[in-house]
Amino acid sequence: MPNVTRSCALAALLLTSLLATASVESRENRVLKCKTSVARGAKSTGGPALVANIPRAMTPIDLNAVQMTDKALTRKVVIEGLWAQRTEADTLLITARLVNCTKKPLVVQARSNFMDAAQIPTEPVSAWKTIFLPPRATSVYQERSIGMGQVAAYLVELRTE
Amino acid sequence: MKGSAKHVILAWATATCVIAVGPAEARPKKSGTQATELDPGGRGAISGIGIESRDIDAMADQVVRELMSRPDFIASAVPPRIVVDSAAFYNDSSQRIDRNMITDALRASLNRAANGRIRFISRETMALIQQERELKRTGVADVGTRGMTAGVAGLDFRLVGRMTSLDNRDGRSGLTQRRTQVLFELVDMETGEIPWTGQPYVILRASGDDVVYR
Repeated sequence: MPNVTRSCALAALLLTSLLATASVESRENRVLKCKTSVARGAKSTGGPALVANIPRAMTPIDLNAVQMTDKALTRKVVIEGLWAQRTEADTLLITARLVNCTKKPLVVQARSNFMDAAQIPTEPVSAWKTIFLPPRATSVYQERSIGMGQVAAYLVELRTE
Repeated sequence: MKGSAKHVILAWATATCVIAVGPAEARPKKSGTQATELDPGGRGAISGIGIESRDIDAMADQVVRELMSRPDFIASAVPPRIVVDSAAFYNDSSQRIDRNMITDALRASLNRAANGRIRFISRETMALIQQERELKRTGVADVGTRGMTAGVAGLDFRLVGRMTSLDNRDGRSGLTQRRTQVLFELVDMETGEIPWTGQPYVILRASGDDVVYR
């Protein structure tokens, strides 16, 4: 009997791992599919965020993240990756890879806000950069800070052109 | 009595007219287009296929952020001396534009961002500088509060740029397309080397509307 239990447990574990693998299985040689609702439903990372001076006056804006300014955009674009690196000059280089989940070309714009540990802006917000997203494909947005070591957080804002 | 009544009526009528006419000038016009405050970094009310307000801000921002990430340029022990003006910014494109608008925006953004890490030199005002130096040296003017130097500041770098374009027009539909490219480079004024070339600022726009740039 204990052997049966062990076998069942092993089988369950194997099945779970197989299912888990299947869910992140690469989709090589296939057309991209997105579940933007999953991205929309994602919880906050729990990191630093901008909050209104009156509690619950607005939804907190997660820092070190991409903030979409348009509801329709959240159904079309997914942020695949977001990275921040220090350059040789100690400025911050942000890289975001965007995915167009639609069948049509998209034109979006992004800009970056850089702030210190106290969330005070270290410099003027960057100019809007236009990003062209081919259908079902990726594009990269990059921005550099002007400030150096004092830059502790950033926020990328995304809007429809 | 009749005469004074007439006067009263006349005075009342005049006052009414003055009141009616007076405030009409202060009243906002309801017809026509009102002037609107617009974001200089936005698309604006009129947009065509050429370089526009938002592009000037965007290209200045791009150059500043690229240069501020160059340690060999901004982190040297002695701040480099640079000139940013329109003397070496060439407009070979089909668009008419005041080149100073681009170089002035660039110099202002760069100077503010550098915060002393780069020294900006003026060559546009050389005649005025030489005139003032002459006045000081001939005793017409005193030496000022900063003292005198043997010569004016020499340059380490000059920011040069070029704006070019490629136009296409569909004769049947009247649709016009233009690729505009703006490139900035830093030239070493001693050796002629180009230690930095910026990411070309490229726009490709098409429109059927006839927007005039001037």
